[in-house]
Amino acid sequence: MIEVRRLAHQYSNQDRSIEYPDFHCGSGEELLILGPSGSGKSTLLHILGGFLKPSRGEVKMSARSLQEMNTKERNRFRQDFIGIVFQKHHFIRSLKVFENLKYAAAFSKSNRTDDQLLELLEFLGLEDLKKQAVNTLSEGQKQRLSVARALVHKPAILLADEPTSSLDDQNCRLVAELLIRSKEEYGATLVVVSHDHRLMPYFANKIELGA
Amino acid sequence: MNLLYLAWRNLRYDHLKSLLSILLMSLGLGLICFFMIFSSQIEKNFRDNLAGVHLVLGAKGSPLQLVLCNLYHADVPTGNISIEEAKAFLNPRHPLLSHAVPLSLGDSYEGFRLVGTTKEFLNLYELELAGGSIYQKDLQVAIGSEVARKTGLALGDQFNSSHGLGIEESLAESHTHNFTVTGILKQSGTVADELILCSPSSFWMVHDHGHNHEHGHDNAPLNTPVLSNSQLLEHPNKEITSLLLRFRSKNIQSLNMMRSINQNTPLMAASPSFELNKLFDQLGIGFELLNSVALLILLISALSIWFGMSIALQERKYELALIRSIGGQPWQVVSLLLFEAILIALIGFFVAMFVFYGLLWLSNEYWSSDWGFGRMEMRFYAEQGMVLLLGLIVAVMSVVVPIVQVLRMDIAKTLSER
Repeated sequence: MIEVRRLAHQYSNQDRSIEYPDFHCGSGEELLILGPSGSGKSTLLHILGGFLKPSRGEVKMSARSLQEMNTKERNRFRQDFIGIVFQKHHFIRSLKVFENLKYAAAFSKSNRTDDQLLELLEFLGLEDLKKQAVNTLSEGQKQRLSVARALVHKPAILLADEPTSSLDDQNCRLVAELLIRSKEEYGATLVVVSHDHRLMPYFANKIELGA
Repeated sequence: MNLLYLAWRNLRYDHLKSLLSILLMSLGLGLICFFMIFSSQIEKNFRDNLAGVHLVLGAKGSPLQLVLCNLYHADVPTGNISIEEAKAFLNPRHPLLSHAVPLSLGDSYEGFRLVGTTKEFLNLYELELAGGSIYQKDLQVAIGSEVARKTGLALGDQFNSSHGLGIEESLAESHTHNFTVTGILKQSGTVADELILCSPSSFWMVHDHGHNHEHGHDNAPLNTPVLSNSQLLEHPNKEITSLLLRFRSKNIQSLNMMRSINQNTPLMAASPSFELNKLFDQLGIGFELLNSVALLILLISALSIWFGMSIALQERKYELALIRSIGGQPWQVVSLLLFEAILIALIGFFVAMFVFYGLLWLSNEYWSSDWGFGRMEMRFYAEQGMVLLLGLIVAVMSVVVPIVQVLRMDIAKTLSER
């Protein structure tokens, strides 16, 4: 499903380049990519998410090479196949919890009905908060809403960037279990990049990046 | 997906910033609208009130004052002239004049001016009666529609006039004679709506204070009302304030009349259109200044929207980047920002119209009679469409920079920030 070979990225404003180990993550599998700050985790996630074009190497997702796609094609690919849980919680501030999901579904051209979106909220334990303003949510609730939003268009690949970095142990466990359950429920391939070793027990496949 | 609704929700979320932008926009648009329409309507109303009068004849003084006082009833008289001095112009068979309408001014009732004049005044302004009849006797009056509306005077009502033109009512001296309302005029849209008309002899009666018989040169007793120019000529020693003159035709002789009167008689003749042109040349500078102030307010409003959007963009760039990352197209993000600006302009315009009609109402109720420029209709003016367009252009221009910033945004970098 995801295949990375001889991947390297040179930052435009820096001399250093980051080289990544080859890895493979099959359909429906989960992969944890661990590494300290500055190891290029977020850059790797941005490459996998189609936001960045790598300087060298090959990334194949669903048998399609990201390098061969232009920006528009990569955006389209992301819209159709990839859901992303960002490190920071970015929501449409003026909308309530459920409205954020509805607009996310509309922007990603998801054909989910309101009932299906409510089911998604229920699955993530957010049904009681559907009419709440997003800025009143706790960190754990925001993270769950981020996961819900990443799932609105039923992505084949779910990417998560430091999903537990700002959470306490209890919420870290909840979010980790939620990601695994979501992957299983929606049949998605899950890739998580993090420096948080608390996630290790939840993932069968792991890669460690150097500093 | 409803981007307009999302734009509306965003405006409501940042309600204080939105309110400031809307208030500045509405103030700028409202003032521009008012000044544009006010200046053009004032000029139109002034010209409509010319009533075909080619010359105003009166005592020597300021020509503009003579015109403003006797045509627009907005200034004090330059003085009085005797009928003896004006008799040549009162001759119904004058070869150059089709109309010569005498005016006696100096009294008022509740701020509305009394005008002692003949029935020819009604022909000059094409006035019609809404009720009752035109005065047949002394101390009978026909009142303008606005006088009736604002004072509540009705047919058969009586009132005492005051000496003075209502400018300083506390100092005014009330006359003892009772005037009776015998006629109410239809609304004409001219200055006559704000006048109380009576015979010239009514004026003399309330001012003579029993000294009538000392003027032994008059051929007719004063208990005969003066209703025409030929009757006026029977009282050569009486005074009037002015004569409004209309030429039979404009020829060399008539065009020379003003110069001839001013050079060869103790009277002064002033051309209303000439004086108006001079007045509007001077007023034009004032109107331009007022328009400049309104434009400045609009510019501040545009800057406010721009600053508001730019500052908000620092906070909102994450959500805009997020919208792009989950499939939102650039045109959708651009539309969202444009809708927000357009909503500010539209709401600002509607608030501005309240400001505009409020100013129009104030002008009609309190300023028009004092300044003599007549009422302005409470209707839709073509200039309002132009002002709406101006508001939309200003609003759209003010979001051009934020839109460019959003389109050039590095989505991945932005989403990694903070």
